[in-house]
Amino acid sequence: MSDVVLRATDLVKTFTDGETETRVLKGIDLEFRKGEFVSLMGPSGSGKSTLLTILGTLLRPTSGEVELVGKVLSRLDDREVTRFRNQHIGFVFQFHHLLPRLHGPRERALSLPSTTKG
Amino acid sequence: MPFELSVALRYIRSGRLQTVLIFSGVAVGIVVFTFMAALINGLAISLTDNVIGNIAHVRLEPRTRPPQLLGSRDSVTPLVAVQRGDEPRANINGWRAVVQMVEAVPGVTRVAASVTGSGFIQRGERIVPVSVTGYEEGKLSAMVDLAAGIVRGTATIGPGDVLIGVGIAEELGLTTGQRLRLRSDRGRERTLVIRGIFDVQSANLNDRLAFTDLGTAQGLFEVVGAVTRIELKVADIFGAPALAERLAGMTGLEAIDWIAENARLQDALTAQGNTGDLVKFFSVLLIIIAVASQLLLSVMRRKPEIGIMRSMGITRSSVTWIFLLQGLFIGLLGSLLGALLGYGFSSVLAQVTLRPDGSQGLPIDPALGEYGLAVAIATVASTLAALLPARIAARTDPMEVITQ
Repeated sequence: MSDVVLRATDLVKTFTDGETETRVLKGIDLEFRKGEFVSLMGPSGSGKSTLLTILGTLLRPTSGEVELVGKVLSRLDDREVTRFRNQHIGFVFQFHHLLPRLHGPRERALSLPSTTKG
Repeated sequence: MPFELSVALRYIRSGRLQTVLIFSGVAVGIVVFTFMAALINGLAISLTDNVIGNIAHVRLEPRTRPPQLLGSRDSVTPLVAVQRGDEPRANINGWRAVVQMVEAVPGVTRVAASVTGSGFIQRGERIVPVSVTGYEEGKLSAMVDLAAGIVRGTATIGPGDVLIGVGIAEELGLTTGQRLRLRSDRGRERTLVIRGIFDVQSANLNDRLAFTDLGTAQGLFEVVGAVTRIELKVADIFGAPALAERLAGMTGLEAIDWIAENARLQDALTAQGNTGDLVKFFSVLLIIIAVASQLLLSVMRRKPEIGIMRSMGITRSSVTWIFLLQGLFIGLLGSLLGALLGYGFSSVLAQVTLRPDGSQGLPIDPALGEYGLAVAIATVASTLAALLPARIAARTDPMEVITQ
């Protein structure tokens, strides 16, 4: 069990718009092991992006827990989550979200741990 | 270079037109600030110089003592009318000792004993009232800056000489070398030779001032061997009240400082200073508004970039610093540029408004532009102005970018 790098337990995500509640994730349980290659497939609107942003620490679940490389994310505050994201997670954006003010090397440097001091 | 600094500088550099505009805005604000400081401070010095150039900074005079009732009882309230004219004229008899004592006081630069009084100069049917002051030999120039104002003759006088204002000379048709007859309010008369005619740029003074030597004045006003006042110039003109208080304690004489006698000048200088401060306040306020609005626009335009940075793990405080540093640089560099332009503007204006005689048309002193203060205030104000945009930037939700 020690090679589990990501574990989600009973993940629920509900979006609220006024009085309308949309439950996108309804109790997801999953485990990813070290070295595993996982594809997430499903029709549009099935909640793939929502699940990925929760696993990527950009969004917090309504309930349930995510444990990533031994850290339970719900126990981290905003600052710790940001630092964790910077040190452990890489994003490949759906669109070309590059930073026009930064050159390639500087943009790559954003993901280095040394860039998050505050 | 720290990441926040690097991004802040890139944002400033990449703005081009906006960067030029915001730097120009800050610089213009500082030009106004420094110009107002140079003008108001220059004006204050010019006004003060004009007022105190020809008067003593501190004057020592005998104290006037009201007559004492003999044998009055405490239970009885005396009703007494004192006719001031009946009192003997108060003089300073041991004045040489007082002058020596006062000369030794630190901060006193010049001391002169004098006799003053009122009199009349008559020529034919015309009579002009004058205020006569007689100084010890060689002390007139120490107290009154007449050299620059002499329009005819000389400012140096000896026994039996007199200097008169240009107003008196015109009224009576007098010129240098002529003799005039001066009668004092004590009924004494002297014939004096006009050695010089002066113009102190004040019609009021030109119409009534006359200067003689001490001996002549003592004779005219019947104070032989004594003087009526001791006049002082001091190094720190605004410290005159404190020095006057000290001198009064030392000498037992009444000490009157120039500030107490020119309350209106003080009021005018204060009002002028407040007006200048108000203009400076508004120029700083404009800088704050300009920087805040410029950075707010920048935040709105760069929301996607800020969102990406946040999603890559850049903390809220780092984002805050990126915008605070922009505010700091805009304030610092813009105000340095403004201080430079302000100094140039004030210098050019001071030069072009010079009168043909070399005196200043606009009493502006470029050296008194408070440039350091302006740069410090603008830098702090600009950094504070960046606080709101920085906080908005820091609150950017990375999800907004990801889901777009």
